[in-house]
Order: sequence, then C-alpha cells, then structure tokens
Amino acid sequence: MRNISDFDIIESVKRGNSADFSVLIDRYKNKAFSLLKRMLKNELDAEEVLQDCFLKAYNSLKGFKQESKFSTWFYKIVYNTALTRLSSRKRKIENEMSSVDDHFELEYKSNLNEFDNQEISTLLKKLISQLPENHAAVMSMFYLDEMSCEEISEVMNISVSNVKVILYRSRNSLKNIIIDNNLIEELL
Amino acid sequence: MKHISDEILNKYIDGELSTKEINNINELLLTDIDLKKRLSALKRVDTELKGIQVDEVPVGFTLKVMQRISKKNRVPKEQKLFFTYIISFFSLLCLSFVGYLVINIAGEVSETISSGAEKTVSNYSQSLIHSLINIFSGLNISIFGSILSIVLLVSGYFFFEMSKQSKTKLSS
Repeated sequence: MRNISDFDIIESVKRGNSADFSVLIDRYKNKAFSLLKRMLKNELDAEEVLQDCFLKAYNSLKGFKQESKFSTWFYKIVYNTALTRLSSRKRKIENEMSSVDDHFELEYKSNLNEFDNQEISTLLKKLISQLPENHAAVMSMFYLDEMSCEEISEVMNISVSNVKVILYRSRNSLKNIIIDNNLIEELL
Repeated sequence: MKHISDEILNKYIDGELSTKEINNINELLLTDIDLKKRLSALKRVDTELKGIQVDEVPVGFTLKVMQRISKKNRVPKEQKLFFTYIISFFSLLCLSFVGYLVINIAGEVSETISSGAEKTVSNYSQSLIHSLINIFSGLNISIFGSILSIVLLVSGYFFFEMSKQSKTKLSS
C-alpha cells in the first residue's frame, strides 16, 4: 500500500471502495495532527478537528480535480477548519496582512549557567509551541511536512513572500531568545 | 563594516543566495563576531526545527474516522426510507380523503341523474364507490388500520432516530 499513489487511492475510493480511504488517513493523520496541535494548542481539539477534516475530505473527494497534490488540497481543509475552530473560540483571526504585521514576542529569561546543550534544545521546542497560530502553521508545514513556500502559500492563501516573512520572523524570534539569554556561548 | 540583515542570514541557511553573496558572508564571518553569533543561533534554531518529532494521533483514530464515514453513508439511505414512508402515508391519507369526497358527491349526483350519458358516469361512480366501500369495510378496514399503524410506528422510529443523531451531532 505504501507505493500506491494518492491519486490511485482516490480513484479507488471514488469507485466505491470507501475502505481504501483509511490508507489516506494513515498517510496524513500524524502530520496533520501535529499541525493542528500547534495551531489549536490543545490535543483534544486537534483530534476532533482532524476527524472532521477527514470527513470533509471524504465527502468532497468527488470534487477533487487532481489539479494539485492531494496533500496541498487536504492541508487547505485542515488549515481552514482550524481557523474556523479558532474563530468559534472567539479568538482573533488574522487575515494575510495582519498576520504578517502580527508582532509577537517570545519571552524567556534564564540563568546563564542553567543550560546545557540538551536543555537549549528542550527550551527551543517549548518556545516553538508558543508561536502564534499562523506562524505555527507555517513552521509545521515547512519543517514537518517539508512543503515548499509555494505550497504553503497555496494552503494558507497568502503570497509566497508573506510565507517567507512569517518563516523568518518565527526563526528570528527564537534566535533572539538564544542571543538575549547568552545561550550562544553554549553553541559556539 | 557592512551590516548583514537577519533576512539575508535566513536566506543564507535556506540556500537562496548566489555564490557571490555566500562568499561575501563567509568572508565577513571570519572577522565579524556578532554576525557569527547570529548565524550560529539561527542555524541552531533551524536544526532544532528540523528535528521536531511528528506527534502521533491517539490509538484507534483511523477506525473512529472510518466508523463515522460508514455511519454517514448509512444515514442518507435511512433518510430516503423515512421520506418514502412519510410520502406513502400522506398519499394514503389523500386517497382516503378523495374517496370520501367521491362517495359524497356521487351520492348527491345519483339522485338527480336521469340521462344516458349521465347514467353511465353514474354507474362508474357507483362501482367506484362500491370498491372504495369494500376496501374500507369489514376486515379490510382492520388491514388498512394495521398498515397505517405500522407506517406511523416506522416513521416515528426513524424520526426519533434522526432527532437523536442531530442532538448528538449538535452536542459534539
């Protein structure tokens, strides 16, 4: 099953073999879950939303034109469903420009002697989970799903340059934490 | 000394700079401690991000989704059946009402009819009335009543099932 392409599975599901859809679920569930967990900051919500996303994808499979990759199409569903969930929680949802203008600040004050190399790694991972939703989405798609900036821009419906702005800004905020806390001595 | 922005450093680690630009930065790195610090920190961030582990969904996730899909596939069939029952029920109700009206009208008309053509119509009406009376009399009325009850019970069952499902969906 690993070698079968997404398109072949989709064709099979369209022919009525709905059980084959489980192959697609197994293929994308963990990465999509990671994206949702980072966006929604809640594991239970992420699981629930992911179930809804797979149901939406199944129901819309007939409308999938195969003009883009299934992963891009599916992540679009995942990203938009996550935004809907966030808006239903009455959280502030930013559109393209405001997300780029979004000035967030990751804060961490530490004792210089407190960290060794391993702890810097743990700290960075902790800080990554604190990134705003759109930044978390870009980071997750770029690093976990190894999607290109073009694909991410298609999923998020923003320009490629704005994807890069979000990506650089996220990295820079983490980099500044390292420099501000003098953790750089550990790295050099 | 030329300042290298964070944006350029990001492009440097993403391999988006030209050879000339890369060489320029490499030269500066030999003398610029601040630049070296910033690049080193940025590279560490990039390495950590590349090492993020994918989170795993809870056990049985695929099964849960597939169950929801098969349940969803079943619902339209049940809905179709439900509406068929409802439509059949109302059709029977309409038929009974029309039959009742025909009996009344034909009864009144039969008293005043005397001409040949009218007699023929009257005869047809009479036969229709007799057949309807046969259907709704004696044992037949019990059969009709039983069928009606079954239709009502089945409709009721599907109605409550559907409302239960909608409530579950809303609460979830």
